[in-house]
Amino acid sequence: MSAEREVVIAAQGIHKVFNPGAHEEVIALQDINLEARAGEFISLVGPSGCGKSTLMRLIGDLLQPSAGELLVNGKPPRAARLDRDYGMVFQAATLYDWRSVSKNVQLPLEVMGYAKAERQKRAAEMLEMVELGAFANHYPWQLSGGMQQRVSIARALAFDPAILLMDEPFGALDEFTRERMNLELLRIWKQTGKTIVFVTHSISEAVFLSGRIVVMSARPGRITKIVDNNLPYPRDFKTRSEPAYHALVSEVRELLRDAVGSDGAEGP
Amino acid sequence: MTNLNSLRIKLPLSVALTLAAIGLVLGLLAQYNGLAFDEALQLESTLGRLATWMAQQSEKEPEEIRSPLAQYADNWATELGEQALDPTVLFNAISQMRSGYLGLIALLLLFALAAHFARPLAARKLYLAALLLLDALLFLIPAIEGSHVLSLLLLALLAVLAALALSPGKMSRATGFFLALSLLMLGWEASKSFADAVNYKILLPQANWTYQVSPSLDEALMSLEAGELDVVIADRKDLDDLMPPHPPRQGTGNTEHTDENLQYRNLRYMKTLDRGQGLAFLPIAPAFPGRLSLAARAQDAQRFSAVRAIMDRRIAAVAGDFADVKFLNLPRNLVLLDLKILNDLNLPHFQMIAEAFLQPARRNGEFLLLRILSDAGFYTFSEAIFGFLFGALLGFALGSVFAHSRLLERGLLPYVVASQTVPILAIAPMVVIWLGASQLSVAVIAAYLTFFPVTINTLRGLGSPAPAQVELMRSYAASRWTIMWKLRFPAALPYIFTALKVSATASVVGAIIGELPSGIGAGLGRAILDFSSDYSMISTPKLWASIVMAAAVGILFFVTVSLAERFALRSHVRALDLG
Repeated sequence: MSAEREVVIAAQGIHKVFNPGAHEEVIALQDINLEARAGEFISLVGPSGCGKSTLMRLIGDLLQPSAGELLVNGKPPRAARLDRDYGMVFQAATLYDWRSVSKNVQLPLEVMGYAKAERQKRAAEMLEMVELGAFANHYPWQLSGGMQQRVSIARALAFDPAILLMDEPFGALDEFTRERMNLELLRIWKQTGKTIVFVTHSISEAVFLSGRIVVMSARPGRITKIVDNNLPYPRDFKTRSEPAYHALVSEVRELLRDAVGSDGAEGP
Repeated sequence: MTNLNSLRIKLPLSVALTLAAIGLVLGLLAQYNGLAFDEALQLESTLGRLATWMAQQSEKEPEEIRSPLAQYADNWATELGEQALDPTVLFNAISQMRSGYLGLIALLLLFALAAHFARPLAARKLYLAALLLLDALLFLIPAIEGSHVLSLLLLALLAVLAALALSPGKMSRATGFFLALSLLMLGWEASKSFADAVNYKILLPQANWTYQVSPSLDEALMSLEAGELDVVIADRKDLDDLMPPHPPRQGTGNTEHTDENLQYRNLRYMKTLDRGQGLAFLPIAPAFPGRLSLAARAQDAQRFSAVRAIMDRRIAAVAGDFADVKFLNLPRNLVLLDLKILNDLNLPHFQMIAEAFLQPARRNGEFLLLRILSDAGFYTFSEAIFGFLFGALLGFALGSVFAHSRLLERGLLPYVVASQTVPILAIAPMVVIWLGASQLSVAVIAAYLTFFPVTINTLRGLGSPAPAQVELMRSYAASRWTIMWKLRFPAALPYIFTALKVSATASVVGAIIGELPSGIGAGLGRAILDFSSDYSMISTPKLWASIVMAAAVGILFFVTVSLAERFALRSHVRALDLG
């Protein structure tokens, strides 16, 4: 169904080598080919060290590939970054302590030179969307971890970027909060229709959220398989008890086990 | 131990302590009952001395009076229809104030006692008020041999302190501060009492000085000129105003007064006087104080170059003067063994320091030391502020440059660090050579101490944001400048303010040190130098007073910066709590 949509991210033959030439040279990514279409929810899963975060940072122009061609909205990632195509959410909420919740959400708008009234209006909308409207004048340290991460998502969406890059955003949260945040994220995704690239090391999270799951292996980091997830949206807590869901989780787990090798030392 | 148990002991103990404190305060009041004004307890108290000085000042012609307090005394005298204010008027007023003051303390303690049964949480505040009032008395009541007043006061303080510590409720920050302060003051005075008990002295009594007193210095000096006397002992600074020194002044640099127009041209005062009164190596007490000097006829000057030489001579002093009361009046002793620890010279009573503040710096001077030191403190403060601002700006600029340029940081930071390893005392004269002896030099010297912590903390603070926070900014395509002002600078503010608080106090130190080689006479540096030039009982309390003033200036500066911090970091609440 997504075949008709335009291609947003196109990666062809991407290599990334850290410290090239030095004896601590690391091949982080090898021959990555990936396409993401508008409005798609893609998860990158894999053992630690498989380069899934590196791939996301290449897309976001926080790193540059050593070889290969990467286009975002038909432009090089740097041009896309300068065009403010990315909203980023990291594992830590990275809110600025000295700014109130509302001011934190307004930060990208300030940088991009929006007028004050517009900034305040958007921040209020975004906070309403993540259901934190009542906390606009609180400070980050007055919020729980899950609430902070929701502010962080509101901030990433405030300037209406084309692509949302999320690097293990719920990795630091407890299981219960994480599942609630997953539902929230699906709701926000449906509401905004953004393209989301989601890095996680949780198989169940990847299966629950995404339309396609990119399974990666370590040393060197490469794509083992891209699994299509045809579980119907909208998904809710009942989805997690369906047999199809469990079958997919098992499939991804098998793929990861093969990727790591028989010893399974670096299983997720 | 349960709360209930401790409560069962606490309450009777508090009640007993409060009753004891009330008894002690009433005892204190009784000590003053019917006490004559010329008793040492009244005369030598801080306010008593102030009253004496005020009465003296009011004798001057109205247009000569410049101190507001002296003006007040003069106005009072005019109101009473008198030419000059009678000291007894002032002593009467002091007496009334004292009764009211002690009565108020007793009343507060009585309320505190009642509060235990009616509103237990109010007791602590009442105790604190009583404690502060008692603390203030430590600055007013002199330590007189044979008088129990100070001991009674210390016991009352101890009782109130204990009652305050035992009283129910949570200890607030201010209460804790004053509790510790009072404990410190009590410890200071108590250790002096203890030292008095263990001080040990073996004396060999010597003959007293035989001397006569003259009602005024002029009369004494006229008798000296007439040959009726051999020596007059008087304040050195007074003598310096009236006669040439012996040996004569070198050069003509001193233009203040030429020897020709001096009043007593035939007399000399001893500029260099051998003060050793020792027999072999044993000192004789009282030692000849540094402030006093000898006046003699010009032809005799050669013979009186040592204090020893005036034994059995015809000596005169001015009646009631320091030389008469505190030196000549005392029996002379040959000290065989002196085991004095914590004497009044190395650890004066608080009262002596307070008294130094409320006395003129020079005998019969027209301004109190408090006024002189306040002016000096303000002068030093203004120098320190310039140094602080200059140093803080320089430090911030250097830190910002280093934060943005690896090369400059690697290249220049070692010199910044090295600059602080050179003692400020060595740098200060160089700055004066370069920039001249001015307030600018002093500010530069203060800045030299100030900029370093600001540089280091700015550098550290600007580098403090987590990599993810910087990446977030990059994902917004923010410029370096935007990252600086929206992220790095706000993140660095807590670090910078920590450095500014260090710098605020350091700049005062720098200003005081800078005043010494600059030869600036109006600041605290000069005052400290002046009062430490002779280690006598006259100067030491004034030296302590100067130290207190210097500390006050530093604290004032620190508090100002802290308030600025509180305002600037009102959103960084978590960072503030950590600091």
